Amino acid sequence: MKQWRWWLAALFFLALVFVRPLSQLAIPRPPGARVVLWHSYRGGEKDALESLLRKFNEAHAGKVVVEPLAVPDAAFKDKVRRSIQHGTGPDVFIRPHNEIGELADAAVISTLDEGDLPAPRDAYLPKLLDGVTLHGPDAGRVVAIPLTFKGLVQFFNKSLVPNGIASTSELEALRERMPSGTFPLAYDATSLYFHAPFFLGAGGHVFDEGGERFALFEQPGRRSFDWPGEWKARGILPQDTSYNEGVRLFELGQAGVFVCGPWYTPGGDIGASQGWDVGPLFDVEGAKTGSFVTVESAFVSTSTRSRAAAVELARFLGGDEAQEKRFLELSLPPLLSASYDRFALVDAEGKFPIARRMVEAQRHALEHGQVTPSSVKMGAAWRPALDVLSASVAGRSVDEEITRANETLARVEVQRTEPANATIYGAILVALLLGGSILVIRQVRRDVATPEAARMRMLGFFGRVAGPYLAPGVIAVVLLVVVPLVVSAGMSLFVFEHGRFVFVGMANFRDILGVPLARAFEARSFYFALAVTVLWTLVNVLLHVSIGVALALLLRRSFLRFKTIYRLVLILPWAIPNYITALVWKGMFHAQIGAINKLLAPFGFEGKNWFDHFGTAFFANVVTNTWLGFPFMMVVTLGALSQIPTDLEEAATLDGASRWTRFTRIVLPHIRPALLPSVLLGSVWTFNMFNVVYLVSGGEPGSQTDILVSEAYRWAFERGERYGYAAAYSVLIFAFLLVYGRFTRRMEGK
Amino acid sequence: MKPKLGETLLVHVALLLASAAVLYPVLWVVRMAFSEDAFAASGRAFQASGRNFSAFFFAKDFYGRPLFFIQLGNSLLVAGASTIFGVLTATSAAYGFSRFAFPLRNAGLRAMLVSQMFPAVVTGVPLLFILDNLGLFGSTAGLVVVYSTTSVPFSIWMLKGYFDAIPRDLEESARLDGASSFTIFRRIMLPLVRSGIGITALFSFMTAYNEFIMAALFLDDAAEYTLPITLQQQVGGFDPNWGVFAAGSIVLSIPIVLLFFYVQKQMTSGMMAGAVKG
Repeated sequence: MKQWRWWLAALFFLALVFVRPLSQLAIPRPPGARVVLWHSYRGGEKDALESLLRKFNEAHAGKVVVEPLAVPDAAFKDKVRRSIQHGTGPDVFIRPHNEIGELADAAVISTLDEGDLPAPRDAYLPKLLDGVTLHGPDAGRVVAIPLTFKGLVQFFNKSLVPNGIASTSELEALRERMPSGTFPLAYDATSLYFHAPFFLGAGGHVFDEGGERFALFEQPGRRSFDWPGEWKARGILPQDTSYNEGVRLFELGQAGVFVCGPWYTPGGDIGASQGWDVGPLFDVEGAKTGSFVTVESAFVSTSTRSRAAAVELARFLGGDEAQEKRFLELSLPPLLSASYDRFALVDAEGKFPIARRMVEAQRHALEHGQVTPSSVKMGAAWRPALDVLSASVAGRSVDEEITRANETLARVEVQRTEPANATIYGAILVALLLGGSILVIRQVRRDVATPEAARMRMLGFFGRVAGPYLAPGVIAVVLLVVVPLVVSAGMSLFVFEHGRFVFVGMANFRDILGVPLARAFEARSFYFALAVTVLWTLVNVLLHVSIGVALALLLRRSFLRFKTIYRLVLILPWAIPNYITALVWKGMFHAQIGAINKLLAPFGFEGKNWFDHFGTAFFANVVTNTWLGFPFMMVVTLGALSQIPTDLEEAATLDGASRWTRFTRIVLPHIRPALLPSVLLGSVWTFNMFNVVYLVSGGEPGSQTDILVSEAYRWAFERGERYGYAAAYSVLIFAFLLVYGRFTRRMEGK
Repeated sequence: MKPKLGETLLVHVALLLASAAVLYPVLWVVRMAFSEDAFAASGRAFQASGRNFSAFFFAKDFYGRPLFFIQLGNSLLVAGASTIFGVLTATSAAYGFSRFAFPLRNAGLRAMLVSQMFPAVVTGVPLLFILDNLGLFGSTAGLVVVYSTTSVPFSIWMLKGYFDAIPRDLEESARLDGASSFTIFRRIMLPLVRSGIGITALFSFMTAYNEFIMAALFLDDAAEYTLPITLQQQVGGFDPNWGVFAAGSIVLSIPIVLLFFYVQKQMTSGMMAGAVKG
């Protein structure tokens, strides 16, 4: 390379460092104390919030500046806890009230005074403040300012069901009356949240009278879990009962009633033709019903540096002006009983009739329903309920799944974390350190005495002279690689609870490795993930190698035209960043917009959800990973093939060797030495291929397709900060790779 | 050996099928990027529009700051800084490992290889706490540290390969002529591995530029985000925006694909040295 190109490259890298300060300078932040607000709104809700914040900023110009950040909903809960505990989080954040239990447990929300509420307690709608009030030790304290609430309503197709339905008893008759290819009802039937109207209407309770013990699967609510399966079988519900499918069917005019919340505005055909309307929830078997009501609330974080400004912002967001705006622009219900009469004036002028009905329907949902329970325990109920509802929808035995779900819930009841005795572990640690030092000293002695060492010493290339060269790199590696590994190993002996680490010794490893046999075959167990990982690695590597070698053999042919073009196209997947590839394939397999379903439409794949079964979800992951992985093997093989002397094969041909003989006797022995390290390396990459699994299937259904690495990630960052548990996972992964590395070195004969 | 016509035809059919399988998703994304709305990609008539691209390029935050350009700056800064740090610390160390003998040399090399096998995501937990204690959590500097955990060992490993390829007699004769080891390093070795350093830097840069999960984990502010986070968020939660995602993925991929084809010959050795970790 010429000198100038070298300098150009160096300049390029230096210039990079200055791009950012320049772009940051482009428009500076306004002056004033920063109050950071986190939310997870998108679209219209985000616009409404931002216009409110502009007003707030104007009113407090020069003193307080609100800075909003939209954090994706899925990552929000863990991220907000983590950041507040680390002091980098928001001052105020907007979350549904039902996370209060967990947030209070993690000590990230501060309690407020009754006087911080923008209105007196009894002015609020009945039951509403239950949502933002603490249970347990600090019972009765308000911890958040309610902004609005969201309950479920029925959206109905005016041409299919002119007035909506009044009771579930009409469903059967409707099925008979409606044209084929349409469904009386659509809703996300596997989610307890959307199923709640049926559950509550049947008389179900999540907890028993005392509010402590789960009563989720007890009669009379129990029977509601059978309904989705029965309705699907009778054509009342569509085959795919997912949320997105519900939206699609409703918008195509193929669903009579769609149970959904106020965040939804029908688009598509039905939106364009205004062929829809909204009403309160239908009765369930003659009884009025509501839904779980979510009280969206503003929380003040414990890490805020300007509490007064934070509380003021929260009050403003829950105040009168904000409520009116939410009502007018988003059809969100106001919180005060009196507002219903006042805002009714808007309706009298003939404006916003749908908004008015939407709001009334939600008040109905609250009046005949309840705020979603917010205790920590409630967090454990969704998953088992989803499993039971999925079983119902899939036509499997609901009773069996309920037995299992009850076991899961029973485990939630018993919580254990006893600190372990540190003395024994201290002794073990000392012993390990001693043993380690002895090994190191022995190795040093051995290294000093080799003939190579003697030769290098003579040349002046031995020992201390290397120090200055090694120092920067070795220090960096120790700090950046070794220290985190040691910290990780240390953390695996702790449990993170209530913001503190408790020493528990080997308890995490015991929990991970010592699962009862019955649970070892379920998703989220270590052994299940290990089995999936091994299968994942084997299948992928096999496909990478066979496709890669096959294509290389085709491309090798000497008289092939367009060879360069083929080659260029075929290595393209390797060039594209793999997270982009993964997201693209996630789109390709998307039930509605995906190209795969469109391609396979003649075979009845329209609207097929690839991620609701292990087999299909795993398949989607494998297709993605194969697509991005085969070019590497192809290129390696091509390189090895070019080393084969041509006369060797020509001679074999002249001797009458068959194609197969030539392949096994000449080609294969030649490419094997090059292919073997690539295969071993490829297997490690595939083993570690977090991006594909995390982005394509996202572990769906229910973490079944998660591999070890993504499981470790989820335990740490998506399942309530189980850092110690996750660290133990990474120690196990490390051990596994270490053993595998040993094994492969032997295979390579080193 | 002139192959038979039928056989040649079969080979072309097979290669065309493979190429189609490769190009189909690419074309699907291109089509989606240029269409009016994502649902149009399946069924309804295609309407060309540049809307998605302008939505991606001219996205603004609450204060009207140009998010794309700020985040492009972040991406370049983080990838550039971790690359520079990696190459600076690694070059001499790679030389040391390649040319000197010292106790624990082989053990050290092996340990580095093993640590390269270990996926980066899984080190997220300890890094989180280390950065927190250093006060770097949530900052761009913290992310540079995170990316350096990959770039330093990778650069050492990769550059050691380039040093190994230089014949030994060259410096041994210089040695006998009385040149000091530093003179040899600076005057003889460095000029010879210059292109190797360039390639290593490019790989290291591409790896950091393409990383998203650690960035998503460690950054808390839209003005600190790198581009991959924004791209992923387009299709992350409810209300996904596939059109803007498609436009963005084309914008982000093109420079990387071009760089890839530029260094394609060295790509295999780069992969072997651990350029792409899980």
